[in-house]
Amino acid sequence: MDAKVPKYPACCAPLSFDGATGKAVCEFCGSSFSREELIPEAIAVDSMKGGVAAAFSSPRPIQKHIEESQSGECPEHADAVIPFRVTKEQAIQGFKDYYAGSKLLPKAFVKALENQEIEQVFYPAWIFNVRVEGYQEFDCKTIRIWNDRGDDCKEAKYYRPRRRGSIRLAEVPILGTTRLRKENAKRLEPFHISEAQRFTEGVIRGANVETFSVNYQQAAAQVETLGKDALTAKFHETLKQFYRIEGKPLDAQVFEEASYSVLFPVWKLTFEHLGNYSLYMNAQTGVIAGEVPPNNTKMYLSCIAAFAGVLAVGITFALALFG
Amino acid sequence: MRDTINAKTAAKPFCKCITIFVVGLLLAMGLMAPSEAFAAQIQGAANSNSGVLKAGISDSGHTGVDIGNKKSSGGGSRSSGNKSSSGSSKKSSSSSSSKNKVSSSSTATAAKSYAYLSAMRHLNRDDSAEAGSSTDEEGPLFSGNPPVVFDSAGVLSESEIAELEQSCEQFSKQEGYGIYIALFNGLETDNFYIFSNEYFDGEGYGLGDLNGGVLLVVDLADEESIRYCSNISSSAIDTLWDDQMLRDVGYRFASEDFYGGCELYISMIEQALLYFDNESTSLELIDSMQYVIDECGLIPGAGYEDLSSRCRELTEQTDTPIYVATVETIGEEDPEEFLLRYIQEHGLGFGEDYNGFVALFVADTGKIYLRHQEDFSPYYVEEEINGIVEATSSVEFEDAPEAFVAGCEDAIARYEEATNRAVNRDLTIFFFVLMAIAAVIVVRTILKRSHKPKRQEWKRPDYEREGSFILTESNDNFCGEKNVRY
Repeated sequence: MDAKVPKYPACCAPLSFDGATGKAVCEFCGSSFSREELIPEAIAVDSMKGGVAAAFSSPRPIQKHIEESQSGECPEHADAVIPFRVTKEQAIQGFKDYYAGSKLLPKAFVKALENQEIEQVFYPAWIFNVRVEGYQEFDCKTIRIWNDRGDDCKEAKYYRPRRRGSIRLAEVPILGTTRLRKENAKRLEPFHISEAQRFTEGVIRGANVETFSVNYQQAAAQVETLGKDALTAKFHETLKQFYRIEGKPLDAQVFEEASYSVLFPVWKLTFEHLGNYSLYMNAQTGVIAGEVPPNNTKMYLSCIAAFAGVLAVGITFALALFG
Repeated sequence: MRDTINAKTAAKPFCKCITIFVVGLLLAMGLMAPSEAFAAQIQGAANSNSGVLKAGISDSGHTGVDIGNKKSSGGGSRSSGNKSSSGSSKKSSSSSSSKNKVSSSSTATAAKSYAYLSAMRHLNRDDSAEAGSSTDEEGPLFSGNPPVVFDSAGVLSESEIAELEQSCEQFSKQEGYGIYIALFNGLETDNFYIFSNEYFDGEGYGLGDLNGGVLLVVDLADEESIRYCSNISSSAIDTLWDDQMLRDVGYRFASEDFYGGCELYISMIEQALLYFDNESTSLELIDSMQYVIDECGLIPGAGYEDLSSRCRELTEQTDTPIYVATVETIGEEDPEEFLLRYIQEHGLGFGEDYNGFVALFVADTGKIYLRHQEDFSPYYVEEEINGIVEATSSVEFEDAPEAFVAGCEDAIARYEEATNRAVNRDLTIFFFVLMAIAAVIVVRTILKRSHKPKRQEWKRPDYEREGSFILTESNDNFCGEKNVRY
């Protein structure tokens, strides 16, 4: 139950939530702290255990949170921000290395790299810590086939397994913008939330910050689906002895233990080659997403040159030999 | 069975197509009337296209010869019991006869066609005294055996007739085949084809039980009415005696060289029948041809044999005959016309176009004339012919024949070498085209592979807290089983 009992980072004593004041109270020293005062440090220290943010949101069904969320508006800025760890030079080198050796790089791509035309972009995301409790029934069977004194025998046994259980997911990121394709966002994961800092203007200075276009309700709905799928997958893992498995609808509830928003740091390289293309680099890990289209003109010219060259040699050879 | 060829010039293709179509349509519909007159009309129409058209329709017992293919469509022999009647020949003696026959069985009896009868009446009126024949208008012209050479036109002298008869009879004794000539002048017949066939049968031409014989029938009043009739099935005759040969003979007649035409006819038939007896191949027939005609003795004996054999080899190699001819003079005649006439007279060249390469050396002027058909052989392109002319004209006149043949040999050698080189060159280029395509594939593959992004370690994010999955209920609930034994 560590997640429910965060600790005050100064004296490591448990914190309790005072519903009347809306503040966390240190059980050892009695100090009280607002969410804003506590989150940056808490996230940095204890995020892997559920996050201090959990102290400000009681673990109750996520549907309740969605219902109680009055405004469908997106936040103006995130709660926290992950700073850039990869420098610009490293990013450029990373992009160069990504397609090292390619002979079909578009000129625009090469030019953009030469001119170091890459930009710092913060992409917003919602982070959830959730617990999923659920119950599910399955229709399964096992089949055994053997040969008994020359006769083929088949035995089918039918089962209706029941599974009840729970699972906890931590730091589930839900992309807060639609300006980054989901497959690219997935490719860029994971971001280390432990390095997140409290949002300040200074941290994001000089960088482009994508605004939220996915609000809390939309993100919570996504994480609810994700949590249920994770529990179902876990149940399936316990049914490996069965031959055919048909699951009944899952009866589950997703409890939000913590939620907050964060900005992911990304290096973005944009170039134009028969359309707009972008390469993205996780500015924490250096992982790159996106692709550079081949320069087909180069390829066709190379093929034509090869064809013409070999043919010219052949014709010259043939004419020299046979007139 | 009787093979017939009409030496008429080929009609226009359109007429030919129309004729074939009409004949085919009538045959298909079974509407061919059994009247001989009608059959004769069809035959006449068919014969007007005899350059290529198979003259397959005739009265009973007469099958045609596919001139284009030079193959006898008939074959077989006539029954011995049908000597006096052409129409009564056994229908079963030849399957092709029955296939091609269009007249009814009544027509196949003794009745003679209007064409024959009217001609006979005319002949009996004019020639009865001369031939000593019966006066029966519908009977045969000759009471006994027909003369070997019957000159109704009176164009041959008695001595010429005697010589021709001697030649024919000499050969007939050796081979058992009769060779006959009948010359008319102004036959009053609607259909020369019918007439000639029935004349052969009606007058009892031929020797032996099978009436084996070949008859040349010519109506001098009509230059197109020249035909030979035979009841000898011989592919050799078909090979040799095609319309070109007919034309050669006809040319002589048209030139009023009647004796020469008859002589040429006899020699050709002899040659053909000898060929037939020996079952020679067509190549051997070609071998027997004369490639060097040295009328002015320009070429010495040893050289003559050498040139002949070399010409024959060139001919065999290229299927284009090479001829060397020497004459004393061409007189005032246009060289081109003289050469053409010379070629026709000597039967030089293959096919209707006298396809071949002829070098004529004229002794008195020391000039050399070459003639060839256009596109007659891929071996002799214009450049090569120019080379041959140059080679031939660059030596002394006495050596020119040798130079001409050598030039032809060089031309062929060059052609073959060029062909081989061209083939090798094309093969090499083709090989390199394949190589170029392979190069394109390789280059493309290399370029494509080079464009793959660097592999980066990445694994699907797992958000599950380690050990957080707690299974509080796990019941498999067995419901039942089913056992089946096969």
